[in-house]
Amino acid sequence: MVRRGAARRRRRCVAQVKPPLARCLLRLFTVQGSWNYERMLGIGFGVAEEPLLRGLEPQEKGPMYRAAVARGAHFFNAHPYLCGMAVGAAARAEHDGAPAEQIERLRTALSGPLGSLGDRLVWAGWLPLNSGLALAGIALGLGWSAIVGFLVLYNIGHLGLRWWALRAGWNYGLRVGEALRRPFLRRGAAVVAPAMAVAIGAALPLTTVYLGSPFPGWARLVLAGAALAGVLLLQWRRLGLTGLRLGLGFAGLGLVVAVVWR
Amino acid sequence: MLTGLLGGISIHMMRRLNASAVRRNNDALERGDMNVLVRIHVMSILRDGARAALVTAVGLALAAGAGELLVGGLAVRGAMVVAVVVIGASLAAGAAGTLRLIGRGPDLRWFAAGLLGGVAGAWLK
Repeated sequence: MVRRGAARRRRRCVAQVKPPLARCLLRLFTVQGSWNYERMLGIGFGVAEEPLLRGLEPQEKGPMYRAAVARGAHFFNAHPYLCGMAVGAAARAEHDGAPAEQIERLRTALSGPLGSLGDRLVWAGWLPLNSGLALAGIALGLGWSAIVGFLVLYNIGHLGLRWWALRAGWNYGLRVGEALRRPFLRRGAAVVAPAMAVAIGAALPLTTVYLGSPFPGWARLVLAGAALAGVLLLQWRRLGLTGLRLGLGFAGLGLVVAVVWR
Repeated sequence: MLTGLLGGISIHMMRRLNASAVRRNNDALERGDMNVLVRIHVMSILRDGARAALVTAVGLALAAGAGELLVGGLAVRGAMVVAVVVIGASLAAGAAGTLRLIGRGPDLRWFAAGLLGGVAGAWLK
C-alpha cells in the first residue's frame, strides 16, 4: 500500500517535471559512436539516457542514479533513429519506479521491433527513396538543387523521426508498445516502400543515360553490356559476389583490356 | 573501391578496440561510473575520427597514384573502357540491391512502373 502510494506520487512528480529531451536528443546523434561487439549500442545508449536520469533521487548521483546509469549501458541494439524511443521509455520507467528486471526486459523487447521498423522505414525506404529522387533530378539537369533538396528532405524525415521516437518513449514509458502500434507508422512503411521502388526504378535508366552521354556509341554499348552482365552476376547467389567485389573485378578486367588494346 | 574495402576492415578493427575498452572497464561500468562511461564513449568517437582521417588519406593517395599511373599509361579508348565498365558495375550494384530489397512482392510492379517512367523520361530528354 505504501509502495503503491509512493509510486503514484513519483508518477505525479514525473508528470510535472520537464525532462531535458533536447539534451538527450543531441547525445543521441552520437549513439553509434562507441559501437562495439560487447555491448553494441549500449555505451551510447547510457550516455544519451543520462540527462533524463538526473533528478531520479534528491541526492545527486546517488545509488539509484548509478544503478540506472549502469543499466542504461547494458547490451542494446536497434536502429539509431529509433533508439531514442527505448532511451525515453527506459528513463521514464526508472522515474516511475519500475523494477530493474522489468526495465531490462523492456530494453530487450524493444531491440528487435525498433531494429526491424527502422530498417523498413529508413534504410529500405526513406533513404533510397530520396537518393532515387536526387539521382533522377541530377540526370534531368537540376544539378545542385537536387543535392540540396535531398539533404533538406531526407533530414526533415530523419530528424522528425528521431524527435518523435524520443518523445513517444518518454511519454509512454512501459506502455511504449502502444506507440509502436500507431497507424502512421504502419501507413508510413506501406507508402514509403512502393515510393522507393518507383523512385529507384525511374532513376536507373535516367542515370544510365546521363552517365553514358559523354561517351561515344561503342562505349555506351560496353556500358550497357557491363551493367546487364553485372546484374546477372549479382543475382547468381552461388557466386557470393557483392557490389564492391563486382566493381573491383570489372575494374581489373577493364585495365587488362585497356593495356592490351593500346 | 579499395578505399571502401579498407574502410570496412578498419571499422571492424576499431569495433574490436572499443570492445576491449569496454571489457577493461566492465567493473566501473557496472558500478554506474558516469565518468568512465563518457570517457569510453568519447575515446571511441575520437578513435573513429582518426580511423576516418587515415582511410581518407590513403584513399586520396591511391587516387593520386592511380591518376599518375593511368594518365600517361593508357590510351583514350583504354581509359574509356575502364570508365564505362566501372560505371556499369555501379549501376548493376544499384539495380541488384534494389531488386533484393523489393523482392518478388507487389513492389516489383511499382519498380517496373518507375523503370518505364525513367525510360520515357530519358527518351523525351
